[in-house]
Amino acid sequence: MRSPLHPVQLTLGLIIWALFFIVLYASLSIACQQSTISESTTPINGLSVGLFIFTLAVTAGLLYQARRVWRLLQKNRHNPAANQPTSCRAPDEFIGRISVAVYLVAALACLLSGLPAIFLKPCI
Amino acid sequence: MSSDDPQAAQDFHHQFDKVWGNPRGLLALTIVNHTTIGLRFMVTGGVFFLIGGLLAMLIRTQLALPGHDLLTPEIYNQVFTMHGTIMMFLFAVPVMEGFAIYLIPKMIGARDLVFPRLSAFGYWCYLLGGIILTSSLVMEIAPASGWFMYTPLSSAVYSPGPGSDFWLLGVTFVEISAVSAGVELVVSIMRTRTRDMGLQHMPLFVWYILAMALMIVFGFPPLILGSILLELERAAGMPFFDVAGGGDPILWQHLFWLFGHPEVYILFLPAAGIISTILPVFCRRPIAGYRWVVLAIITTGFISFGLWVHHMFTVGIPHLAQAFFSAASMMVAIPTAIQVFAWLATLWNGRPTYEPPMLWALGFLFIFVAGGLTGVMLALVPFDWQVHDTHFVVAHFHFVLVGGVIFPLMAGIYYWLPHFSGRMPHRSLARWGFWLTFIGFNATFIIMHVTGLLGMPRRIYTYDADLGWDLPNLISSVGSFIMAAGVAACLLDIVLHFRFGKSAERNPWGADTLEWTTSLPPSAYNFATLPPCPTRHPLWDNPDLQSTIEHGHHDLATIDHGRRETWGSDPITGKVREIIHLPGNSWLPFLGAVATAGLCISLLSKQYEFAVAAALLSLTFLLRWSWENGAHPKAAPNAEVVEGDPPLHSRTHDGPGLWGMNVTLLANGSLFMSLLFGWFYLWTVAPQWQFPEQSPLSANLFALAGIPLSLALLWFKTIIKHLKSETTKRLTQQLWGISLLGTIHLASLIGLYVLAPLNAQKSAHDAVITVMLLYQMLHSGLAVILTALQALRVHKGYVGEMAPYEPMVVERWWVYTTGVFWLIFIAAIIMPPIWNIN
Repeated sequence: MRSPLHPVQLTLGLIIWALFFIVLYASLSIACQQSTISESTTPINGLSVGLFIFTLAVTAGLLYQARRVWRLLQKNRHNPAANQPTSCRAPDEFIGRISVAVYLVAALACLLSGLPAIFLKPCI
Repeated sequence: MSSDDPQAAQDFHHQFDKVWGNPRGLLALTIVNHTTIGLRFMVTGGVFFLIGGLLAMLIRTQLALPGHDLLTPEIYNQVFTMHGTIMMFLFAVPVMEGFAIYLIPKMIGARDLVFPRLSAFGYWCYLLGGIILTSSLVMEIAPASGWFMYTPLSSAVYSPGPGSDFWLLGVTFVEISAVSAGVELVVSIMRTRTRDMGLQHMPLFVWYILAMALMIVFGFPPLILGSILLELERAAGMPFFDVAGGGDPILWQHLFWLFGHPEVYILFLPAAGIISTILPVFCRRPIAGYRWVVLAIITTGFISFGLWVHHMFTVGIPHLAQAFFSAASMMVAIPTAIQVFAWLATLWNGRPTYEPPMLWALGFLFIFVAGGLTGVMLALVPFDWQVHDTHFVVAHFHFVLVGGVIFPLMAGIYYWLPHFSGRMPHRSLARWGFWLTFIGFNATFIIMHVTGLLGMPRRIYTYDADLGWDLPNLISSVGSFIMAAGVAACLLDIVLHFRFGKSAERNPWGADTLEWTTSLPPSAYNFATLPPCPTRHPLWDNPDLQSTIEHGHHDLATIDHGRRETWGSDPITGKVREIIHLPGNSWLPFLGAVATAGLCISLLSKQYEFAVAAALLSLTFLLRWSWENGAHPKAAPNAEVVEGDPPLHSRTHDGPGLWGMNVTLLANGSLFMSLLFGWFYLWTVAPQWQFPEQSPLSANLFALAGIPLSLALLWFKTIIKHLKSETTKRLTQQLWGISLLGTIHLASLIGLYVLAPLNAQKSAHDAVITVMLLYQMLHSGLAVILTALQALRVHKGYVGEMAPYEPMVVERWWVYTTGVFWLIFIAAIIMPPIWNIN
C-alpha cells in the first residue's frame, strides 16, 4: 500500500481532498460558534489565515505526491532492471498515470475549495 | 469438452442447463440467476416509470390552466411527492441496477454475480417495498411533504397521518435493495473478472458501475439513518429534528442531501457508461481518451460528495461555507466536461451510423449539456438565491435527470434489446418514439426555465390568471403530452418487437465487448467456457470468440461436479486465483424479503409485537441462508477440482465473502459516521441543545463493558492466526468461549442501558445516546450469534482447517463492533466534559 503504484493511489488523492474538505467545513462551523471569531468584522482574521495556510499545505502535499508517483513511473520505464515483460508492467503504468492525474486534480480541488477563505468574512 | 462436433456441443450445453437452468411455475420465485433478476428489476422499474409518468401527466394537466381544479391541494401534494419519490427511488436507481446486474457478469466474462441470493433478496425487497409505498397512493394517504421530506413539514405535528411513515419505511426497505446491489456489484467487479482482464482492460461501463456501486455504498446510508431517526421522532417522540427538544430540522436536510446529491451522480454515471459503450460501437472506433474517462469517473465519484450544501444555500449557512460548496459544485463540471469531450472526439474521428440507440445518445448529449450549464448557474450562490424553489430549478433537474438518465437508458434499451429478446426493434417506430419524446421534452422544459424566471414557485397546485404564467404553463403541458406519446410509441415498439421483431444476428451492432459473445437471448450460465480477456476489445480482436467459447475451448469446461462455478481473480491484474462456487436457486431470499415486508407493514400499522416477530423471522431466514455455505452439503461438500485448476474459494483464506463483508462494513461505517455527524452537528449548532449536568452513562462502567468485547476480539485474532498457520486446536470450544465473552459484554451493555437515566423523548442528547447504544447492542448481539453459528459449523465439519475462510469473515465484524464501541465511548462520554463549546 505504501508503493506509489499501489492501486489505492487511484483514489488516495481524492480521499485526502475529501478529508480536507470535511476539516475545512467543520473547523469553520465550529469556530463560528465561538463569539470572538463570529463577531469579528475584518475580512481576514486568524481563522481565515489558518484555513488558507491549511489549504496551501494540503495542496503542496498533493503536488509532491503527484511528482513522486510520476518520477517512479519514469524510473520504471527507463530501468531495464525492472526485469518484467511489458504486459506485467501494464497495470502499474495504468495505475501510475491515473494516480498522478488524480493527485493533480485533488490539488486543484483543494486550492479552489480553500481559496475563498481569504476573500470572504468567515462567519457572516 | 473441447470439440467442434455440433452434437457434442449440444450435450455439453444440456449438462450446463441441468446445473444452471431456471425452474418454472411457482419455483420461479426461487431463481437467483443474475440474468433473470436483472430483467425483473428492469421490467418492475418500467412499470413504476409508467405510474410515475401518469402522475406527471396529472401534474401537467392541473397546471395547464390557471385556477384549474382537477386535483385538490391535498391530492396534488401527494401526487407531486409520489411522482418524485417513484421516479427517484422506484424507477431510476433500480432500473440502473437492473442494467448493471444483467450486464456486468457478461461484460467481465463471469457466469453470475458473486452473491446471487443477495441479488434475489434485493429484488424482492424492492418489489415489496415499492408495492407498500405505492399502495399509499391508492388509499389516498400517500406522503405529501415533497420527495425530500423536509422537517418539520414531514414531522408528526404537521403531517399527522401515515403518509410520511409510508415514505420513511417504504424507502428504507427499498434502499436495502440498493445497498445490497452496491455491495454485490463492487465485489463481483473486483473479484470475478475473467482471466487476464486487468483493470486497464475493463470496459468503461464496468468502471462506471464500479463507481456507482461504491457511491451507493457510501451515499445511501446517510438517508437510511435520517429515515430511521425521523421515524423514531414520529413514532416514539425522540426529538432529533425538533428545536424545542434540542434537535434541529436542518440536520435532516444535511442527511438527506448527503445522500441526495451523490444520488444524481449515482444515476448519471451508469447512464454515461451506456453512452461510452454505445458511441464507439456506432462510430466504429475505440473511445477517445479511455484513461481520461476513467480519471473523470473517479473524480466525479468523489467530488459529487462535496456538493450537498448547494441544495441548502438559502437556509442561513455562512457565506464562506457556501463558497466552499459553490466551488466544489463548479468543479464537478470539469470531469463531466472531460467525458463530453471524449464522446465528441469519438464522434469526430469515427464513422457514425444513426441507428435508434445513437439517436437517443445524441439526444442525451444535447439535453444533458444544456442541463449541466444551468447547473453551473445554480452553483452560483446569488443566482441560486434568486431562483430557489422556482420552476427554473424544476426545469434544470428535469434536463439533467431526463437528459442524463432517461435518454441514455433508452439508448441502452434499444442497444441491448436484441440481447434481451434475440430480436431487433422496428426502426421506423423507434424513430417516431425518439423524435416525439425529444420534441415533447424540450417543449415542456425549455419554456419552464422562463416560467421559473417569471417567479412561479414549485409545489403550488394552481395560480392566478394575471401573473403571466398561463402561456408558458400551457406550452409545457402540451409538450408533456407529446412526450408521453413518444414514450407510448417506444413502449409499443418494445412490446411488439418480442412478437414481430426480426431475429437478431449474433453481435448485430458489431460491438466489441464480451456480452455479445453469449447466445441471444443468453443462457443462464452466459458462457459455456470462460475466455481470457487481455484486451479492451475482445470481439474486435477475435471475432471467433463466440464459437470458441461455445465449443468448450476455454476455461472451467467441467460441469459433472454439479457446482455453479466462475473464476475468482486478482482485483488488479485479473490473474486467476481460485474457483468461486456459487449457490443455486433458493426460497430463502424470497422468504427473507417477505418477512422483512411483514416488519415494514407491522411498523406502519404500529403493531410492534408483530414487528418483533417479523424481525426475528427475517433474521432466522437470513441466518439459515448463511448456514448453506462453504462445505455444507447444499454448497460444496466435495472440494475436488480439475488438475491444474486453483482451489475452491471456500478452501482458501480469501474469497468474495471477505470482500463482501468489507464492503458491507464500509456502508455500515458510513451510517455510523452519519450518526456521529448528527451528534456533533446538534452539539455545535442546535440552538436548544443541552448537555445534562452529569452524563447518564458512567464512564467507568461503560469502559468495563468494553473489556470482554476487546478480549473477545483479541482471542478471535489469535484463532485466525492459527487457522492461517494450520495449527488450530479445539476450534469449537474456542469459538464458544468468544461467544461467551461477547454475551458478558452484551449483558453489561443492556444493564447499562436499562439503568441509565435516559429520557429520549425529552432531549435530543438522550435520544442520540439511546440510538448509539441500540446500534452497539445490535452489533454486539450479531457478533455473538455469528460466532456461535461458526462454533456449530466447526462441530458439523463445515468449517475448519480444510475450509478456514468463514471465521475470517466473522472476525471483520468483531473488529468493526469493537471499533464502534470505543468510538462511542470517546465521542459520547469522554469528549463532552472536556470540550464543551456549547
